Amino acid sequence: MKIGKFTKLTLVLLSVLWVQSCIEPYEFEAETFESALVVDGRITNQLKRHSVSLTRTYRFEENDPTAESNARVSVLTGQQEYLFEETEPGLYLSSEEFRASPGSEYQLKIETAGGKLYESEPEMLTKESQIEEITATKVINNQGETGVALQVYSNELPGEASFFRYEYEEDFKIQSPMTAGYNLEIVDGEITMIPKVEQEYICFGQDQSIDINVVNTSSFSQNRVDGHVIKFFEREDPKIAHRYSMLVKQFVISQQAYAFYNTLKELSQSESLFSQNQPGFLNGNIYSVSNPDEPVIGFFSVASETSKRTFFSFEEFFDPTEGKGSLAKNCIIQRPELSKLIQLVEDGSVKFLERIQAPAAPDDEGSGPYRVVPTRCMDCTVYGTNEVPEFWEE
Amino acid sequence: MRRKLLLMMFLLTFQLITAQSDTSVTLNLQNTPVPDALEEIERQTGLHFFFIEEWVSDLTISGNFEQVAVEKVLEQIFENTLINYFFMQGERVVLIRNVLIYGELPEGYFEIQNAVVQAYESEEEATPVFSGAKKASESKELGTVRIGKETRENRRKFFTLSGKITDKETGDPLSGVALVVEGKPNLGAVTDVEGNYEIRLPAGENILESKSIMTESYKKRVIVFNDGQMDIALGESLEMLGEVMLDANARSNVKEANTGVEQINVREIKNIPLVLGERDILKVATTLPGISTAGEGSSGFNVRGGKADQNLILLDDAVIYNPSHFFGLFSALNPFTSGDVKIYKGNMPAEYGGRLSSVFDIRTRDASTQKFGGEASIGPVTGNLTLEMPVIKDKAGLMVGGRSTYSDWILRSLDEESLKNSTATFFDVIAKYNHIINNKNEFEATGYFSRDKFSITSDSLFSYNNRLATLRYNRSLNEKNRGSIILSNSDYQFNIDYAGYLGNNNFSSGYRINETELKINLTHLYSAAHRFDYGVSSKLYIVSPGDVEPLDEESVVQALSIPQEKGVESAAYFTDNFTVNEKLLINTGVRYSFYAAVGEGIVNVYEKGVPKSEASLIDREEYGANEVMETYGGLEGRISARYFLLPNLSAKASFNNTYQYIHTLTNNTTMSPTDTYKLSDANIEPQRGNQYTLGLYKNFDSNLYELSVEGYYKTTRNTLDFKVGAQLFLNEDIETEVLQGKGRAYGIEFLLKKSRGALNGWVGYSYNRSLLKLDGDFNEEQVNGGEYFPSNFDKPHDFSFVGNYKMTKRFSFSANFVYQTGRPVTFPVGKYIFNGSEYVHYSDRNEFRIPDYYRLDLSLNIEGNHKIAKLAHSFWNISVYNVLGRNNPYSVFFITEGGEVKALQSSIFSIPVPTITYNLKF
Repeated sequence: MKIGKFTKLTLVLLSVLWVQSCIEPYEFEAETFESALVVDGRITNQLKRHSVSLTRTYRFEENDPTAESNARVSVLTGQQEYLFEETEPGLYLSSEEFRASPGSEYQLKIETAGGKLYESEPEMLTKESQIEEITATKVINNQGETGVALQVYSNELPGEASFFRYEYEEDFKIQSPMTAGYNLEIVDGEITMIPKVEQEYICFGQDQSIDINVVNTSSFSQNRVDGHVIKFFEREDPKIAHRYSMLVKQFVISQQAYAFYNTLKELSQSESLFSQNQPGFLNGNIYSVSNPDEPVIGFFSVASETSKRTFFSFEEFFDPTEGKGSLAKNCIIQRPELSKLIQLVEDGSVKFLERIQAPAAPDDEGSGPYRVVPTRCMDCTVYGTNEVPEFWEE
Repeated sequence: MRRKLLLMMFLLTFQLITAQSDTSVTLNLQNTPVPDALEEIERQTGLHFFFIEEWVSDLTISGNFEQVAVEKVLEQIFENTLINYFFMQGERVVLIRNVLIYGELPEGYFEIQNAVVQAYESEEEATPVFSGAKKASESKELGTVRIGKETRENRRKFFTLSGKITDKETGDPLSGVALVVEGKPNLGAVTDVEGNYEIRLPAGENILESKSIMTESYKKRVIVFNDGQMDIALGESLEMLGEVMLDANARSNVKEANTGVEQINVREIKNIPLVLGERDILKVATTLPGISTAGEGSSGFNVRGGKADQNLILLDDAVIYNPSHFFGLFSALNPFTSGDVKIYKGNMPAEYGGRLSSVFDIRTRDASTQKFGGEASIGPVTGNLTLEMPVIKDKAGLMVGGRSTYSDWILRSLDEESLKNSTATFFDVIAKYNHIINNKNEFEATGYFSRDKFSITSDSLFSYNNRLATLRYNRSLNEKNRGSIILSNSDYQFNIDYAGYLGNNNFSSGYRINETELKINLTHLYSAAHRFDYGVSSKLYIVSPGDVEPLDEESVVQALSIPQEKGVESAAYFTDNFTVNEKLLINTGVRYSFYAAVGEGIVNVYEKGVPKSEASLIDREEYGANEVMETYGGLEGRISARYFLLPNLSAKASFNNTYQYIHTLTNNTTMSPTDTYKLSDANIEPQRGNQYTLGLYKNFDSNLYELSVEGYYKTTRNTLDFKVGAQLFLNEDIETEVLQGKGRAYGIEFLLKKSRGALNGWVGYSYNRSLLKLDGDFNEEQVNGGEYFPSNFDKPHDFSFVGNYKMTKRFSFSANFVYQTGRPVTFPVGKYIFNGSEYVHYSDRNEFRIPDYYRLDLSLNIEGNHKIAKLAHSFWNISVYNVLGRNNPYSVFFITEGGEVKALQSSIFSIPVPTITYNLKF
């Protein structure tokens, strides 16, 4: 029976039936390279030394930009010119503290060491808006993960829709998984136990936002930011394992700036497997005076800035037994041979945990007289500083 | 020798006399049955008639005969019948059907076998036809048909047999059925679209055979005495599935005047390898030169370098805006209800307009008016059931087809982490009613609905649907005039529902376009040389460009509705099909199209000399309801000509120009279901296109092979493109994001088809270029410095092979191979740091290409057994898509993740995909 045979085959084929579609890394080799000036500048209504960064594009295979050094950078408003000076390669800070004031036009001017002239379009200070509140809430996100969402609420602005950009600085308490009273040091070629002087059990880590986070209120019923998510932490994120603080910086930006940042963000993420945004050169508000066809990347924005700080602790949302994340992982205890231990101590890769009191038989940990752990498990300064930040509140 | 003897005996049983008689009769007949009349003659004359009752029982005769010779009376009685009469000795008259009995043996009778052979070769004197010399057994097997009455005067060697071939079950005419004569390869005919054929046959016995891939084969012994008619009803064959035939009319390749026409019949693509078990007429279309898609996961077609929105896709005369399911992986057309699709990629008949690149004219089959039937299939993704039933026997029928996914496991089984929480379902239903009121009036109605629902990320749910309805009334006014009135409505909408986990910004948004068209088509057969096609059409568009509303009270989203857009597109057209002589056919068409954007609405007025932006907006002119806001229009020429260089070799040339008043808005590199359509208005001018085509067409081996070479050159103006990062949805000032530029496309297409035989299929190759030029007045309105650059679907080399091989009656095998140049992409020319993160620096658009695309698919069809009395026929299809496991990139893109740039590639089917489908027909 022919059909009988084929029915069997059918079953076999049906069982392996599946579709594969995937997104995978692509080995891209850039064939061409175009060097262009990249400008990232912002002045705000805060009295401070404002910064402008000048770098150049770099090859796709490379990892670091080259700085555009020795340029003459200034911001012009009316008859006044604020000069900027290069404090580190490519980073220019205004020589004096100043603040942008409403109603004036500001224009960035750059003259590179090569003598090329660049200008921004004139920009004006945006309206001011205060952050009313930052909330931390326990939520379950769309992927079904439990965590904490930090949301921001601003006060309502008069007039037409507004555009916001958020940045943040975060500080978080780090607690070493292990602690001991002594350090091991090499004194005259001998392993020696010395009481700890430095506190390395509680530290503070610091980080800042790098993602573009913008809000457009034009689709909202009120001209205010209402519960926009600044960040979502999974429960096991080590940053929220103890106590966490975020300084949210809110910038009211122009519509043009919003369009620039938003497009930059859209072009840098994949929307779906099936459709892709048309990529292309993204115009900012900076152009070359010498050669209008030369592509210049970046934006000079004049924004009103406010900031607000918030704190929360893990225990406010979760039971400590629920499990938390830790920066230091794989804290395996070892008992290296003395000769090996000396080397490890000299490298600074292990820390003292315990001394074996009685001569003990070799076990899984080894055969040496000292129990040691990787430095990161004992010394939290690997991840942060042991100084309590000035603003810290428990 | 034995044959001769038989023939002799047959003839000599009659004691032949010369057909001469002086007997006269007087008769007064009024619709008198012939047997009665003969009886009366017998009474008056004493003659005796010998005949078979059934030959004459239906015949009647009227007339007054006053002392008329019996011969004359008989002549009149049997004038228009197949009956001949013979006077024999003893006052006997024998009536004979078909055969004329000669009183004397013709000259050279004993060389009759030679004479019959000679009959094909010389056009001179004919020899009487003698049959009966065949082996009795063979003629019994075949069945014998006698055609025409032999007359004494008729000594022609060739006669014309004509008739109509219909489907035994449905009564529908069968087109493309070939008739061949056994042993005489130079004789043959193919039925036209109405199923009519005309074949020239030599006098005498012929073995006539029908050949068609969709029907059972038919073989008859036909004895031809004179010109005659023979209608044939054929049953559909499930055993002869092994062939794929494009373009049913075997000679239309060389004969038609239009350039660039492709026709695909759904029933004939049964064997082509399938993706996930779906038979797909539009997928098959993309294997033809000049028709392609941007990639496996993109909906929309690019015809001869045109954008996907430049195709007029009609399902039973109504526009179907999105003819695909699930990002173009499946077409939204039910394979069981679709009849055929005709694609005009070259010269578009003047009847059509409003799109620059092509017309896809998809027709739904007529339902059977004879008997209830149906088809069902089960594949890995969908189940499909189609039923057809007579409503009024022989007059009206209804077909209902439905297809649906029965689980949304496709996405869940995708090996892509980001899609694990995704779902996708779709269905489509179609109903068609066809009613033949009488032989002059015909009515058809079609309704169609399709819906897709999918969610790629767990917070958003996308859905879209097409809804179409058509009423069509055909009327034949008289012998020279016929016409149709078509009323259609088409509606396309999509929705995006967003529900985030915080619930404070949930919304539902949507887009909708609705169009209603009234069209009148008329045909006037002016003379043998001229046929006029003319008509008018008018279409009303209503677009709701975007709505958004909060999903609940907690949502901060404000309800917003972009004001409706309205437009009226009207056209009048006239075409003259002018057969200048046997060789030259000229098809001259003129179309005048007119478009008006009507209120109510607001026209944004921008300052001249600066880029359109919110800053340069100087006025907003308000228009009231139905007030004309802007008009466009113009003459469109559609001219094509065919010239026969040799009987089977023709050259064709055409020129056409077209206007397009509706545009898609998309900032994706490929078409997606959330692309919106925008009507032309004061700020967005209609697109215009010209196309020049030149081609050579050759059929050889009795139309077994068709070869065509066609070159084209196209220019377009006002093609829409968009600024990088354009926000198109819910934007009231779209024109500030739009770039309008020029397009240029050219190419050459080769196609070789073999439409019949155990091995059949086609090979196509085309070289196409599609270029765009966006050279606005301002820097921000230029792309690639205002120079021509390749469009997103510019794939110069495109090769495809589709082949079927019928191994036995039950097993057939097919293969499909595609090779295409990789599509253009915009690659980075560097990276940069901005605000602490790495980003990609893109420069000129589409300067690079993704790797070339190639794919081989194989498929095996296994028919169920062929017991005639079976209730249903079934077959299995086993296909393997992408047998070579080629990981064809669909796109290559760059993302910033954790502050670093990553290069990624996406592919849709990167490994071989086997599928099995079970089909049942009852």
